[in-house]
Amino acid sequence: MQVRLRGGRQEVIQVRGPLTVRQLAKQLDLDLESHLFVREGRVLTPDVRLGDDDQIEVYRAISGGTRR
Amino acid sequence: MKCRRCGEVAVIDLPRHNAAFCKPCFLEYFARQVQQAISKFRMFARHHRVMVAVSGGKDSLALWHWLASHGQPTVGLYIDLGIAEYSRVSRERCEAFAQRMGLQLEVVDVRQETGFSTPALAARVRRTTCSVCGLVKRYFTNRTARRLQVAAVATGHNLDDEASTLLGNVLHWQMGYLARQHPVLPAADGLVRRVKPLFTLTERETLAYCLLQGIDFLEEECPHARGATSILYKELLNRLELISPGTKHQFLLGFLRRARPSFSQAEPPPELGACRECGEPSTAEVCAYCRMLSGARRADDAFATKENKGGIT
Ligand code: SF4
Ligand SMILES: [Zn+2]
Ligand SMILES: [Zn+2]
Repeated sequence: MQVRLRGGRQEVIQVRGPLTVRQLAKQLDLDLESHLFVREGRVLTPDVRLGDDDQIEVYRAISGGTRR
Repeated sequence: MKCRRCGEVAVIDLPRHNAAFCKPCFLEYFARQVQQAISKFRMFARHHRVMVAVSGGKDSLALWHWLASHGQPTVGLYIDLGIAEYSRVSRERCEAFAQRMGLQLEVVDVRQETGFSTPALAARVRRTTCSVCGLVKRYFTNRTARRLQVAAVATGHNLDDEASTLLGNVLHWQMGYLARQHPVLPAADGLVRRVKPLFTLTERETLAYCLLQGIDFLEEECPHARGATSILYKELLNRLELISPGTKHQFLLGFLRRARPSFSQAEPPPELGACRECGEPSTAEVCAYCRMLSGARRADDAFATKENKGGIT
């Protein structure tokens, strides 16, 4: 699946599915309190299963500067 | 995950409330948090006109959107700091939002007011852009609020902002800041009341609000963003939050209830008079803004004189 990290450098990362949002966050070292995951305009809870063809947008919640 | 209230598919989980919500139920939860903050802390009344300080970012636009769509009379204030591309796009976002929502937006342009952009002011008085920016924003916010005679100025500070500021103030034992950190700063001698209606909502929740309401906020940050420390504090608090949900809320609310009163007693607020030059409230005869501005003008004159003599190239 294609994962786009929004804000900052707008990095796009390829990740092999299927896996849950929680597993994806762990794999990318993004904590769930600081990020929201969106698929086709829908905000996702950590248990949602993502497939290989999905396009995921990751929003960073923390403001006050970007470190990525 | 299923919504705790209605059983529909949830869009967001809130471990600190041991809950997950669908979109309508999350918006209800959000509304309850804001309403409680406003009424418990007596921020303003329903008929009061409130000035919302907006930057184009998620928190301030979420706040303005919520207040306006719940019937609160509002006016937006955008301060154009003259920070190159960032100011241009953030101003555009605020103007587009105001237009789409049919709301009144006041724009104060620092370059028009002072003759300099904020970074140019900072360079002339040899201070950081952020410290001059803070001063300029406080000054024009208060001046505009007085001119428009609003009941209060509301800012989009969220739980993460407040908890991380508190952590910083505790780590450095900033007694004066600890005495005054509060979701309401009452009006005093020319200072307009300041309130933070989103202070019990996390940054992740204000972001979710914007995404669910389709608010077109600016994701990019100011290039001067202090980064390092304030972000580090937020990240540290979020690590604690993941292990022990509710930590940020307990830290901040516990401080407000149990610790702050003692700090306030020990550090009474400074006495305010009116600035001799501009009439805005000040602890000194001439306010910090007027002193900064005359310093910048002097630096500029000195520079121009040398240039005319061919001294500097
Ligand atoms: S990062 Fe600094 S210069 Fe930029 S808006 Fe914030 S305080 Fe102002
Ligand atoms: Zn529901
Ligand atoms: Zn003054």
